[in-house]
Amino acid sequence: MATKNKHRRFFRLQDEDRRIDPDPEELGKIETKKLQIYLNETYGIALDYLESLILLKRGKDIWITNKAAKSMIGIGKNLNINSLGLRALRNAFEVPKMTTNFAVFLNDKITKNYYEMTKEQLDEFTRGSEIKINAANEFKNYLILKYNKEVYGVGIINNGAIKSQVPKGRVLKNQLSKEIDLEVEED
Amino acid sequence: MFFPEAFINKMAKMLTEAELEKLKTALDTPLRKSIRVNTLRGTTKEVVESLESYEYVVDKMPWYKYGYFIKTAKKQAIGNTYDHYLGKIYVQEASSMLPVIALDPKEGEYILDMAAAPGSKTTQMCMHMKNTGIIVANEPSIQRISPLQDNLDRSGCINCCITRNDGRKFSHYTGMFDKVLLDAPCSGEGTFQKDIKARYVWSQNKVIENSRLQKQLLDSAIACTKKGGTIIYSTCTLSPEEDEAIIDYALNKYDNISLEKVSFEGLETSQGRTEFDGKEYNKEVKKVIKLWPQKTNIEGFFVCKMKIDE
Repeated sequence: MATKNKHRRFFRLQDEDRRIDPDPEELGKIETKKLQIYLNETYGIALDYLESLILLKRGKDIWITNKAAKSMIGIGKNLNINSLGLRALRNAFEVPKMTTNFAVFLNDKITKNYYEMTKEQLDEFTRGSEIKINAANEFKNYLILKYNKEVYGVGIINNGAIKSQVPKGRVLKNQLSKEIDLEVEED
Repeated sequence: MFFPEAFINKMAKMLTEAELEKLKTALDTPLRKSIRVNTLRGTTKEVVESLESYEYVVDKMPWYKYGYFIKTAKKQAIGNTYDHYLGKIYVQEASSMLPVIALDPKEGEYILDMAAAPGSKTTQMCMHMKNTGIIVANEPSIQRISPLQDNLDRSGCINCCITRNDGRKFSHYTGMFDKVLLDAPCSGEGTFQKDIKARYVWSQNKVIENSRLQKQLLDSAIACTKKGGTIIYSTCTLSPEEDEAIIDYALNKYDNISLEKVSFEGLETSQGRTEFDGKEYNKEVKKVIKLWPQKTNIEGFFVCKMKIDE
């Protein structure tokens, strides 16, 4: 007979979920300003760009959403909110790490601290491999990886190479020739 | 190929012998692969050009400017293309795009997707709304939240709020939403074409069990939709107990709802049945549409558009 053992994955997941994700709250003016300056200085994002968005703080992370969605914050407790918007930055108040999804979302707004890849490097990067580069000290913190002026993700310099930060679930499989259906995505 | 006997007997009550044979043949034919271009990330022109460079033959759906059937002689996965990686395309069944076309989400609206995972329709709505307004993407199953979040993120959706509730809970939020999409949990007879396992887990008991929940979810959808608002009730099944009977139940219970006809250019749809197995349904049920795989060459589906009177 099945028992509610606390070590079983399902129950552990529920408990962790409650513990890790506090309710989202809107970021204060001072913290927003600091973040605007950080994104402007590090990635060249225009200072006023974030003004059209709402920044939410959830634990150490920053999420972005639109102004209309702000009204959901108040009713969150009753509606059992799991997430609101898109996770933009992890560990935002120490060493901020831009998420792949936010980097792709910003795309051409990113004008600084990016590395333009060759086609071969793009193939390596999106498969989760390192890219060897010569000018590693030109970049700071987490850098953005572009190909043909389009953002493909985030990397970090490690021993003269760019280490891919593409999430495991997003990494492309080895060959195009391998048939893998994405049934999980379909309805 | 195997089909549950009770399923075939039920279909025989609705179709002629020749049509039934055509249905069986259609369900044993591989489904055409289809994708939707996500205009939050890219344009249809650039995506089509890119897919053609991967040697895909791309055919536009006559009824939807963002939907394409794709095929290729090469054995390759569409999920391994950069267009998919960047969220410029979403692998989505052709019939699964129809409820959102019928709902016609507009910028700035407040919409509830009552059973959202894995997020095909949620991301499609988000694209139509250009990331404005709010979509409450509800999913009761914790295991399905993660793929839902991943798909929203990859598609660049920022106007979605994922909630984890039993859909029936929304009955407490009276008149909260402009529009509600209820793509109800169902026995999935329409998926028999792509998912052979679904044929083995199907049973008439499950159909009856689903229909009880579907009625309660539709009650909840009606309660939480504003006056003048729209509800789309859809399923990927063909059983009248989960389709026409649910709409008949709502029409008889509420006097403030009415049905609207929906049509899709170039798609041969069938109108709803007004009787099944000795039971008479409300005549209004004719306005709903059913997609039979043998007629449409896409997955079986059911779509009903309902308005809450002002």
